[in-house]
Amino acid sequence: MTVFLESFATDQLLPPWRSLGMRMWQFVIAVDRKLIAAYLDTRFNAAAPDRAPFHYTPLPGKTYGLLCVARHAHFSSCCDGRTGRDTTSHIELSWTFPALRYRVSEDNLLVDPLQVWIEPFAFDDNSYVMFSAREIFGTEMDMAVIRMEEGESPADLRIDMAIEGMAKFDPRARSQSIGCMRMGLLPDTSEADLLRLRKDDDDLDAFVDNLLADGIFTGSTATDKRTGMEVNTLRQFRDVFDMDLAAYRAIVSSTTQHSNIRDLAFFSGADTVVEFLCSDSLEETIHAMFGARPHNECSLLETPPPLLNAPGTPDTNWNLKYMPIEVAMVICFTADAHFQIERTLHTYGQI
Amino acid sequence: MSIRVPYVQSAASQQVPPPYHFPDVTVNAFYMNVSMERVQRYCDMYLNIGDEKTREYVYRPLAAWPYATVLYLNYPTMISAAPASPHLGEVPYSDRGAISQTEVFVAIPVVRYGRGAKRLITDTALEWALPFIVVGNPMSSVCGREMLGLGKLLAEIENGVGRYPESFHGRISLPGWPDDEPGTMQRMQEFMRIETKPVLPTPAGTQPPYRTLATLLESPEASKLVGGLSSVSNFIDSFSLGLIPTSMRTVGLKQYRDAADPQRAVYQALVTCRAQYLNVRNVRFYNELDIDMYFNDIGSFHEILEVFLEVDKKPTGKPHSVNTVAARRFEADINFDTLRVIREFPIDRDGVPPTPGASDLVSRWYRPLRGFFGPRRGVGLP
Repeated sequence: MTVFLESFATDQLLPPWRSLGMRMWQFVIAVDRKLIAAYLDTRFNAAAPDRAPFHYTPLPGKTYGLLCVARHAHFSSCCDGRTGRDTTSHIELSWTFPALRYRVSEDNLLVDPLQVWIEPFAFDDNSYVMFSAREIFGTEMDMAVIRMEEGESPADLRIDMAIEGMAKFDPRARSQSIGCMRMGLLPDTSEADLLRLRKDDDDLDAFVDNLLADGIFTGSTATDKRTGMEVNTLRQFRDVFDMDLAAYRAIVSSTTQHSNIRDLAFFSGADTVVEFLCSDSLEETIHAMFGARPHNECSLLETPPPLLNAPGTPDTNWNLKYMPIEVAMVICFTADAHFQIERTLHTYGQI
Repeated sequence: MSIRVPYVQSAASQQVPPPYHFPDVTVNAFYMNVSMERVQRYCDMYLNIGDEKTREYVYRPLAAWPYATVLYLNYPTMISAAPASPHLGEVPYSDRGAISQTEVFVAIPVVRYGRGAKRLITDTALEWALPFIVVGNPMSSVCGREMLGLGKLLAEIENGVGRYPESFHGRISLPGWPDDEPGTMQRMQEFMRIETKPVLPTPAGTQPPYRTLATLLESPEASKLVGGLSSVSNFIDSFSLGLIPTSMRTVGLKQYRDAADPQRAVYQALVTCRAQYLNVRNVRFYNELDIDMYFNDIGSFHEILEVFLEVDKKPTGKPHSVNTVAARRFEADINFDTLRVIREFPIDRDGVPPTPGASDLVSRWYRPLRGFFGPRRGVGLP
């Protein structure tokens, strides 16, 4: 075995990870199958130069994804043999959607379909978590300033996020803190009945069945047949000499389990505002997943962004166009979460 | 021939491709004593990898330079000069604009000696190890870590004028743990601080300036000479075809963990990069006897300090004061380029033979000669 040479610079929290009392908001958003298929084809189905013995396709029918915001107040590494230097707190925002992973048989047939979750992008406000996510299981996670505020009523929810980037690409442009996303619930919003939400929309009903199967808001234990969400990520690092090549590229499988679910609530998508702020730094990321949509000159949320006035946060440019995203429903809960990296499914170039 | 694995290009990728150009960088450099034993330990741990009997090289400290340099750099403009990728179909990185950042690192010279009579001549090279490096920009930390093998941590860095005009104040805060108790929460803590008096000559110092080495160079003529030497250095670098090395080559270990078994590596390579200092100007000296520099020897920071400082075996919980032997400030334009994997290590795999390693250890002076007179080599060539 080739030993990884540990140093303080690589001494991030090692898997598996545990999050106690994780506060989660999940925004269910319909996605375009063509866009998802294109993403899967370039990331997972392409030859590089060998093909992985798997093939990924979108789920049949209307497809949804989850825009998740999680506050991890007590996030720690459960890596064997480590005591101390293992606990931190952070807020994470991620976009994930389900897909079918088929095994490619020796006869080149697609067999054994399995639902897995794909996580094209994520943001976090803790550099140690970002390094772990990027370098260990390969999520394209970027640093962000994320402010998540909840009040006594659901309508008090505000989630604002800013990143370092360019509002407009130009050789003379300077990077700055730019608004990236705003989320919240409209005034007078009250909890919705899940049964009614499912009854009103057959596609959404089928998607909720998927969530239930993975125990996302019902919880799961190690004895369940399905032990949570299986997430597949493309883990790749550039070669230092030829920037079009990867020094390492692999598909990694990990699992997220939720347990001890409490404070479960549902809200109608009609009461929800999710907006991306349009900047050149984020254009490809947004358009690749959500396509081109109409823009507004200002936010649909009435209150000013808290990040603008928060002490200790950078001056942020919110003077961008706002692209609202239609939300089908919202799920929120508190839970304990367990993250486990299962295995490397395929390493490219090692024939 | 090794297999070429394409990188999935994305305009949103944080791994911004080099080369980079950094104009108008302000550098504050502080020199301190370093233990040769600790440098050798660092070399043995992170550079002298593999079986000693079969390894073609050995890294050792530069005995003639028992100093580590702490550099505070302020980059007002950072430009990626990478050519547009034909596969991306997006705005080239060089046309997107510039970012700015602050950076602090500790640089220690190490010598790579080729083993055996021939390699001693052709493969021996002076390089700089960076056992500690932090930046204030997340994109820079991602690039440094994932592409260059530099262990860049993301920090809050104060880098500016201190109490007096023309003085310097530097401060680094890092995420860390105040103790090793299970469950202790990570938090931002002050890692180090530097305060200087104004550059020489100055009436504000507390120590007599005649005791500092810098007095040798404090006259305007001498300062011009130092600036002139920098220009000469650049001239030599440009017109000697690289035969007389004058720029700084860093060396770092680029390695990735196995996802499911984090104690195991799936990729290990030594990577070198060239940091070329151009148009060095406004060279000024601080009175090194009037500098307060300390590192906080607390909790998880102890692991950092014991790499390059003479600290106790356990954290003292107190600031560890360090004496500087010289200090200066200058401005320069910096090019960061010529990135190269000089040694790729074989990786063990379960049930199948290990990945093949590769070496490109030829020293800089010999590289053009070998390229001209030697056999044709390169990607895709037999």
